[in-house]
Amino acid sequence: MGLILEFEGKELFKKYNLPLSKSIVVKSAEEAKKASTTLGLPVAVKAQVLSGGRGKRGLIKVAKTQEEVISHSIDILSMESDGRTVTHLLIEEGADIAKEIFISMVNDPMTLETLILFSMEGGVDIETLAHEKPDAIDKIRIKFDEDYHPFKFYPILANRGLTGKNKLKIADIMSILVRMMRDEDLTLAEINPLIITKSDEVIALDARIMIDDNASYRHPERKEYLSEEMRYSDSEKDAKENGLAYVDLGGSIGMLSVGAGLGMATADLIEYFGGSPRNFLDVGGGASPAKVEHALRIMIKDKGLKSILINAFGGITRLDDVASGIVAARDKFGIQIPLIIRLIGTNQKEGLEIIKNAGLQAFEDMEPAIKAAVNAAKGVL
Amino acid sequence: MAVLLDKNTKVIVQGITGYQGMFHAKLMKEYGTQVVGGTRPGKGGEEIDGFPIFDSVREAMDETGATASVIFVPAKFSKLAAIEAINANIELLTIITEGVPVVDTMEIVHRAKKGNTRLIGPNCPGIITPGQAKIGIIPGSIVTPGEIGVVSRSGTLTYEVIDQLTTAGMGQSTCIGIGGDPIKMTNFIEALELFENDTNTKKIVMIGEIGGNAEELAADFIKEHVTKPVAGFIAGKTAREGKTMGHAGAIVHGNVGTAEGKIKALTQAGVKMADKLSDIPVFLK
Repeated sequence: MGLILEFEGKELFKKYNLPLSKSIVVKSAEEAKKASTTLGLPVAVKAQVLSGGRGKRGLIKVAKTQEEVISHSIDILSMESDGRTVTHLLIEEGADIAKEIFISMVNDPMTLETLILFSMEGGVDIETLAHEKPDAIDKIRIKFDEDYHPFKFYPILANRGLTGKNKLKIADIMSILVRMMRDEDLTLAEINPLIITKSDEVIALDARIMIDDNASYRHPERKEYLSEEMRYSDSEKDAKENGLAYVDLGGSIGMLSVGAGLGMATADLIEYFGGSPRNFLDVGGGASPAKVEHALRIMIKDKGLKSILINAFGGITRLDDVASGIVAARDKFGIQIPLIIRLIGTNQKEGLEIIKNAGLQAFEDMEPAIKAAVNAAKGVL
Repeated sequence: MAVLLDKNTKVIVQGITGYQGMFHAKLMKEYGTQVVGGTRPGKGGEEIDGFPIFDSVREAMDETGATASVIFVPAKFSKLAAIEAINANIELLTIITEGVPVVDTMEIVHRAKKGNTRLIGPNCPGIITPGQAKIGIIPGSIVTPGEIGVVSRSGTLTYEVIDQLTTAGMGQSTCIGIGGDPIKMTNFIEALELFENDTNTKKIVMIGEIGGNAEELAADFIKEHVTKPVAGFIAGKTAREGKTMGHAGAIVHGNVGTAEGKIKALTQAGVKMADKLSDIPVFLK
């Protein structure tokens, strides 16, 4: 589930002619100053980071003078978010806000509906609003095969006091967002705030978008996204490029699983037996020897690794493939850390043969293998 | 009696000429499944390892009398393959393929619900009725016939729990891997209902994981409609908030879908929740 950056979301909005303020992406205070000259003052200096709540965290500031553009840019570019220093700013034309509106939509996996949340009290944290004033939020459900023409939204918007062309514009925006959810493979489309200016213009001031990573083959340009770069650590990126799932957990036992559910249960059991998983590394179904080898190569880059646990239950994955990958990685990378291997399932006999011939051992049951890995991590063998 | 499939079910494989399709067509046949052929557009009329190939699902069904199909085609082509099978009125459709885009899965599920097809998956290991037949990739060697119905969201964990049951001498009626994606037609509730109504199933095991609210909804359903004893397990207690652990479905959003919340809901519904999988056979003794 991939969150993308504000400016990337706005690029998508542009494609669908959603109303935006003029803005320029910059990487330094000097560029920010130049951008503010082009756009005219005042401007908003906005950190391009994945986490929300930027206003509260001082990651969005309004600059009325060139000096302020420079000082705000220097400030924000020295701040951190999501464990990394801010590198990109969006310099955006200032806006005279008269009204802030909230629109957000997701797919409901149970009903297949697109669920739209709408409120005239935007600009705030919506979870707080939902808690304190649930009546201020409209919930609109669009069935999978239902039309979502703008007029569908007129009564709801009218009911909240919107009239004239603003009502029509906002209904248009809602309709377009539903279309974007489907055509652009989005899992979240949110504008908070959508503003009405004092001169009665409607503008999408923010864009919070999540894209479906499984659909990236339909949107090859997304590979170039800066957010793609920011979303993952080096190991996560390396894993992703090799078709693996990697999550850093910070403990001492390197864990390689075949299958995500088994990996989660393995991590749970490591903690249950008093150990701590260093990572979650899933080679997924149908893994080749090369994939297993990559997984181990990525894993041993982690510092503080005390033991390695490989937990494979072969269904679509063949255990001889897993075994070959383990042995190849051990020989190629000279792995000295204790390797605890558990193999069961498809082509088990062939897999065990490979492990045995390489002078290694394998468990058949999960819990003894996990206990052994926990003990090995503690130096008890 | 068993649910969804038995030794008389005739099955075709969509994508039978592929690496995984061919390998598992053979394993399914070896296990006793009536694999009557497969499809691969452009290769209709040919044969592969004794399996007749057809250009389309419709032709395969007309020629062989197949009522079930299993999809092994890559994610990009899964939607088309599924729509083809649904339009041909296949009774049971299982999608093994991982990584099908959300919008595609929504359309597949929508069409299956409107049509006459029961859909299992996507991103699932399939179904096995021990001693009779299997559709998908659950290893035949780990199951044994018996009276426990197993339903699970995760592939490999399904195998793990089945193996532990078999080792403890407890056989299974049918095992259903419902799949790891959030959008599906056959979820816990539908599987629980099948097991509740199956005379051969005496006890039920359900394996869930973090993310979404399928387990919470299942807890409500169990309270109202399930009379058979249920034992359960939730994977992902150690998961960090906001981190996906491989499955699109397994995301912790705030406190919705946490392991803690699910365990609480299921416990309150009378499900015996295991800390570790090896406790499950003990609970069902």
